[in-house]
Amino acid sequence: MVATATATRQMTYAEAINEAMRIAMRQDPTVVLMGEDVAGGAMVDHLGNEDAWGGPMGVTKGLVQEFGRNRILDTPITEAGFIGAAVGAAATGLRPIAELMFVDFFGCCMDQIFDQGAKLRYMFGGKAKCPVVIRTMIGAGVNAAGQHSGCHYSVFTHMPGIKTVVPSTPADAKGLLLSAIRDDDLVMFFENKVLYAMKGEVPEGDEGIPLGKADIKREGSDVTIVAISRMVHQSLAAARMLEADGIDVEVIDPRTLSPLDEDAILSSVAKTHHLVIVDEDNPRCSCATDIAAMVADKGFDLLDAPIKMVTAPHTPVPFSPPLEQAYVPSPERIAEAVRSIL
Amino acid sequence: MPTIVKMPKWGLTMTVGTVTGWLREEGEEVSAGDPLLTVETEKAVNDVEAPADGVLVKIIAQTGEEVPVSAPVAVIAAPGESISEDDLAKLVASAAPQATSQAGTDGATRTAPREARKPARDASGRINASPAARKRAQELGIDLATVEATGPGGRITSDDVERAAAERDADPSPREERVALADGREIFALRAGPGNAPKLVFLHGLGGSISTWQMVLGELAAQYRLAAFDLPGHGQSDKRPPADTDYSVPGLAAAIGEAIASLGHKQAIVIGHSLGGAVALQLALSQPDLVRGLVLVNSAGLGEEIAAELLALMSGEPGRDTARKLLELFFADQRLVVDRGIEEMAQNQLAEGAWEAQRAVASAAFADGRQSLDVLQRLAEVSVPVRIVWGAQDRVIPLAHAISAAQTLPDATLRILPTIGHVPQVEAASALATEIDRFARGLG
Repeated sequence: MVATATATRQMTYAEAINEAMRIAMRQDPTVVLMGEDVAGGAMVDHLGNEDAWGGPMGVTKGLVQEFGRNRILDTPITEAGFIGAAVGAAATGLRPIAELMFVDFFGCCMDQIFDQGAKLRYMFGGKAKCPVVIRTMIGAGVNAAGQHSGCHYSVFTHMPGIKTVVPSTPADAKGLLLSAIRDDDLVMFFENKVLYAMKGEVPEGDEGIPLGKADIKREGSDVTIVAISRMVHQSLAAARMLEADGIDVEVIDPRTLSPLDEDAILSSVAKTHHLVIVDEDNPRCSCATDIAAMVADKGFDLLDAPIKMVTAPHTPVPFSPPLEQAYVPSPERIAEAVRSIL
Repeated sequence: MPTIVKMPKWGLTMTVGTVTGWLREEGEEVSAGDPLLTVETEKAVNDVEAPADGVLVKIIAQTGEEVPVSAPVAVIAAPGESISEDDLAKLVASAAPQATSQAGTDGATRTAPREARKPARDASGRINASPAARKRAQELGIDLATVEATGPGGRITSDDVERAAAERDADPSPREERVALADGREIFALRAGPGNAPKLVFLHGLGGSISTWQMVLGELAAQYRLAAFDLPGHGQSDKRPPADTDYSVPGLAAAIGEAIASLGHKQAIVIGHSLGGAVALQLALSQPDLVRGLVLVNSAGLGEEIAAELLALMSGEPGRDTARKLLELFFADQRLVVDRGIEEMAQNQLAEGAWEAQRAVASAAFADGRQSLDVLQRLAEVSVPVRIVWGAQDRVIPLAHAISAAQTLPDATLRILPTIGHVPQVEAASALATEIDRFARGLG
């Protein structure tokens, strides 16, 4: 792919996101960060310069010490207020990053995202832009119950004017966030909380990964799995299981859902003639159904079998640990879906 | 020594013939060359001639009987020879053709990922095949009903179609096919030879058909993968009215190129005779990826002259008289102008739409009595190796064209057949087959 060897450093998914924000803020003074607990109360005079959490998962840790409280803004627990502020600041010249703690809270600020931010460019005939990034946490698997565990990127992918980014590795998280911050449109950046501790090699430097460019996470010839976010890793585990049966799986990570790299998916299906889509989001009107419909429409003659979708059930995320485990697509379920069409 | 009269093999695909009548009776004296009986095949009715002088002592196959190729139909005793009934019976028994095993029934290995079975069908009889399998089957000309299914629930997959096509293509036995073009026309093709062998394509001349190549094909079918085509408007290919069909040499080349690609017969050595040579040249210029090399046999497209007599005959009436005059013009040895050949060419001309189409080909290629072909100006651009083979007694296209083209074409060699006329594939089939074989071996 890239001819020149790039130096890399091992870090976690959370550290990679932190580094991307740090790089962007060093390069561009208009980049600011706001949200609940992003500074964690640090650098407030009467509280002292204590080390603070930096968000509930520590993703923004240390940023306030470098950039100060004018650029790292703790906000009240008012999503409508600070998301609205970020959209307004974006329209008037800043490049804000707003942190919506859990995506499940989007109902509180949907007007600001959907009816204001996403439509700004359109409503002003292209004269306004909205370079805001809304970082938000998704995903089941940590017993955070039904109101802190959803994925819901499908909701935002449905809406015109919003770019949706779903990184699955530390390297993708850094490169995609850099591009998201530099993008002139509203970008929803979905961080899977189960992946925060995942380590990986991350390229040094400030190069972004283009939005709309899928990544082949594993090359194979028998079946294409399109997997979103954490499902990339569940699918890679399924691929290892299937390898023992002589089934050669290709895993495609779209990395962004809007825009969607249709060519990458279609050219993989042209090779394998089989498609399984793995999506942790709810199954109806989802990214899984969207990709399935796109391939059925544009790639009908490529298919040797029905398109299979492995998704969460059409329910909220259960709190019961065994039920939560059953809720998330497992490598076993993915492998079973693959076997059913070969 | 008695002579057994056998059912002849007229063409690569003939397997049986039906005796439609005896022209001589048992006990009559016959001379070599006398018509003995008439035989009908799928394509034509023709006479079988006596192979030797003598007495027709035994008619084995009665009128109405269907007889395999090479099976005995009669016995001729040498003059003065007498044969007992017992000896006659033994002779007939020993002359029966040996049963040969069908190719492909044993020793064939195939690796299917799963148990192959008949494709599932729904209540209406629709075959269960995947979208990809349907598309591929159409592209490769595979009948889904003949494909074994390995997919879940008896579904035919694209791999199943690929496998069926590979098996079909590996089958060396001669097979006739109709290749559908995008515009709906069908091109008639004869294919033979092992699937993995070097590929040869044969293109006949104006007014001809695949059958002109029969003897050459027979000599090459063991070592080469052959595909011979009837040009549009000829033989058994479609003969659409000239008003809505491009019968120019580039038009013919486009149709043949599409048929070659459709059969997966790319990178072939294209052997073109007379007008078919011009089509081959055009193909090498316009679709060089299809062409590995050219063998041009008394070919058009190498110079301007063309026999006025040919054009005069082409503007006359179709039928036996025109066919006979054409063959007299074509052959150096007039003994080759036989009834069977005349009849075949006449049938070719009289088929519905054929004469109009063939005249359209002639008038597009030979306007104003000269070869008016684009390829003439582009010979220096032909990038593939060329072997020119020329019957020097040709009265249709002069030998001078061969000699000058051998200089103009960038990579050409010339072989002259001194006593042969316009049609070496009939007049000197073995020599031409040897030339093609040498040329192909030289290309490696």
